[in-house]
Amino acid sequence: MICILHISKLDKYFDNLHALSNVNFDAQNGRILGLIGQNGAGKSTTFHSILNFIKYSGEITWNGKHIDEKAFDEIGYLPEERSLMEKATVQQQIIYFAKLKNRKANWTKPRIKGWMKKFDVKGELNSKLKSLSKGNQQKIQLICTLIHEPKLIILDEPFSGLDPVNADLLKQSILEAKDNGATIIFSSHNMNNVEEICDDLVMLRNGEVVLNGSVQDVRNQFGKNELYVTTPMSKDELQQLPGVLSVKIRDNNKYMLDLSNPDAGVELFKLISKGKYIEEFSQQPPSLDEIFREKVGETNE
Amino acid sequence: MNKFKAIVSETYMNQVKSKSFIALLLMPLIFIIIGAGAGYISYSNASSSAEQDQVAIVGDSSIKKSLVKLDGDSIDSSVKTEKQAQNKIKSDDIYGYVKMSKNNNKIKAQYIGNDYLDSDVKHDLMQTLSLKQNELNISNGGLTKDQIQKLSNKPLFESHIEKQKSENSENNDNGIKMASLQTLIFVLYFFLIMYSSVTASTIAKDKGSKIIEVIFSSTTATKYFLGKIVGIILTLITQLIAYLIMIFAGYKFLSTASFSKDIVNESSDTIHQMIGNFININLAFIVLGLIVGIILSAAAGALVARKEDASKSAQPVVMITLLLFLLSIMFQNNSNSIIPQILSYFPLSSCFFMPIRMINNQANIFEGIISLIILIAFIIGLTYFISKVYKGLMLQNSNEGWFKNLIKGVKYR
Ligand SMILES: Nc1ncnc2c1ncn2[C@@H]1O[C@H](COP(=O)(O)OP(=O)(O)OP(=O)(O)O)[C@@H](O)[C@H]1O
Ligand SMILES: [Mg+2]
Repeated sequence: MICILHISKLDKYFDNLHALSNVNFDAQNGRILGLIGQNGAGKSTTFHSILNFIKYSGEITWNGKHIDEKAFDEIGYLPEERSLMEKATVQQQIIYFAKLKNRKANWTKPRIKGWMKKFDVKGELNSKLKSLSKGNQQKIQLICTLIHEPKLIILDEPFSGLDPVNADLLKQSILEAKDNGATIIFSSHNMNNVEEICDDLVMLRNGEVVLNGSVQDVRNQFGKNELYVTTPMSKDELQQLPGVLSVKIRDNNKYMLDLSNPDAGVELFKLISKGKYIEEFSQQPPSLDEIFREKVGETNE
Repeated sequence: MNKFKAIVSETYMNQVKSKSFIALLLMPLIFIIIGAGAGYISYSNASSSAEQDQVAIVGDSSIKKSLVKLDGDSIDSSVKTEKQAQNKIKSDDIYGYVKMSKNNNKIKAQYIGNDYLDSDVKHDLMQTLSLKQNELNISNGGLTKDQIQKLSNKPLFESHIEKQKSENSENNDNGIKMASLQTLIFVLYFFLIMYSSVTASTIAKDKGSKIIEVIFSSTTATKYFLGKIVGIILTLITQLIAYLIMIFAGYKFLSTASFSKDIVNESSDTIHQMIGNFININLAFIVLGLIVGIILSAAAGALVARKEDASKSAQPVVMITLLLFLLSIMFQNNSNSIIPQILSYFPLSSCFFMPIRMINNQANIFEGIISLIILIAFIIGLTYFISKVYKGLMLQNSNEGWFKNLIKGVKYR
């Protein structure tokens, strides 16, 4: 079954600020969509519109229907600002939020331990939330977002505040949810995370969609202008070669060359390898990070 | 329904388990213990402390002297002037005084007091006076007709009872009224202040911490709002029931314990009448007044931006309560003037003023019911309105004082 979060002609003004203008995109089940954009681009505002927190113009549907209280049961939402109840224990907190998703306490209870293990939470079921470290509290909140097995998962900056190991744990869970057929949409500043797990990508700039498509398509759109090589040649020598705009040193003997056009690669391969074995010669489209910077740069011009 | 129940029970459990709630529950127990202690002490002192059973004689020292010889115990011989005597009545040292004067060779004794003059003292006084009058008559000379008539002059005794201390029904009624009014005003004030801050702060915490975003991605703002209110009302009911049980048990205990049973039984009529002043339409006003307070506080809690401001969030409601409290203190004895009359129909103030006027017998049951209907309609309207704008109130984040926040919140969605 195909489940689609459909957003069309989404428009939102805050007084005179045009926070979102004509935003259109779809998110599909079994796929992960990354919503990227600078601070203030309108990512959270998009989520708030989906969840009906604010009034908007345009149309947002989940499986063809408006999102109402019934649909909420299928949604798992992680807000941008994290926090949990002041006095509750881990178990109380998770059970309460699950109840609000129509999951009875005795449905939730036996599942908590497993989730805590999955996220490697340091703490007990009846630990006070206050006594947990910030990262562990955040994991509890992630568990609250996911435990009721939502079909539409909306995560606002889920990776912020997690160390790389824990970020990986989160990626695993997101991928698991994807395999279970959920529709996942999350916002992030970290393009590596997006690159690693996202299938689709939407980039907002000042409330407008500037990129929309699968991650591969978006990258290819920009041409394979990046060349990763490992060679004993020096930076200066590489700089002299035809079609090379700039050279960055990545490591000992490892460089990243910026090409004037993708076709320059053919000639460069001959010049660098000199007909011998070469450890690395890989021509790639720009990383999302670079695309991001480039797209952001366009506004500042 | 499940979600609503979850919010209600979460709110309720959180409150009932809190330290401050438990401390509040113990408060009347402490009052009762202190009260019983005080009762016990005054009981054991009662035997030694002298009752005020003396009168003063002023205006004629020779009469006073002869009376002191006869009834030394009953006469406060230290009093010399009428002024002193009046002061001593005020301070309850004596219950009255006799003022002697001479007019046309006639001795006049005037008695002023809070109670009837002791009959023994009166008897002795009259005898002494007769004697004095006789002396006076004789010294006035010859025995003409005129003189005989003068001899037959009898002293005059006039009695003015100003204020009676004993059980006089009208006075006692006033006492009960006053006690009922004070209880009403205090109870309403106390519970309103307490529950407005409890309500506002639990909601302000949810808002300030952004937990509300998780909640509003799960259920409607209306369910949240009503769930919180019901949870708090259940807390209030729990507290009231606990208090009633404690008061009832305390009353039972005091009315059987040897040191207090006399006092309690003596005043049982008063207590019953006081209870009678509340177990009627006035109870509806008290309960509904508290509910309005809770609803308004739930709105007030939604008007602060930060979790840190949670403790101040009830301020608007506390201010209204304080104002009503002061007004009712001002008007409790003058509750039939135009201002209290208006206030007794106005939805919020009616909770204070209609019961005040009912206790003072200035409003009949129909007026009470009309005011109650206005109040109920107001509660329904208020709940409806707030639940409509509640999402906006809770999600808007500006921090420009509660009034601007209210306007922004109403316009938010
Ligand atoms: N409630 C609001 N009232 C007024 N302006 C708002 C409100 N919410 C957001 N905005 C404005 O709308 C714009 C988009 O904000 P939004 O929070 O969606 O950005 P974002 O992409 O999530 O940024 P960040 O990465 O910093 O979280 C910003 O300019 C913000 O100031
Ligand atoms: Mg944001």
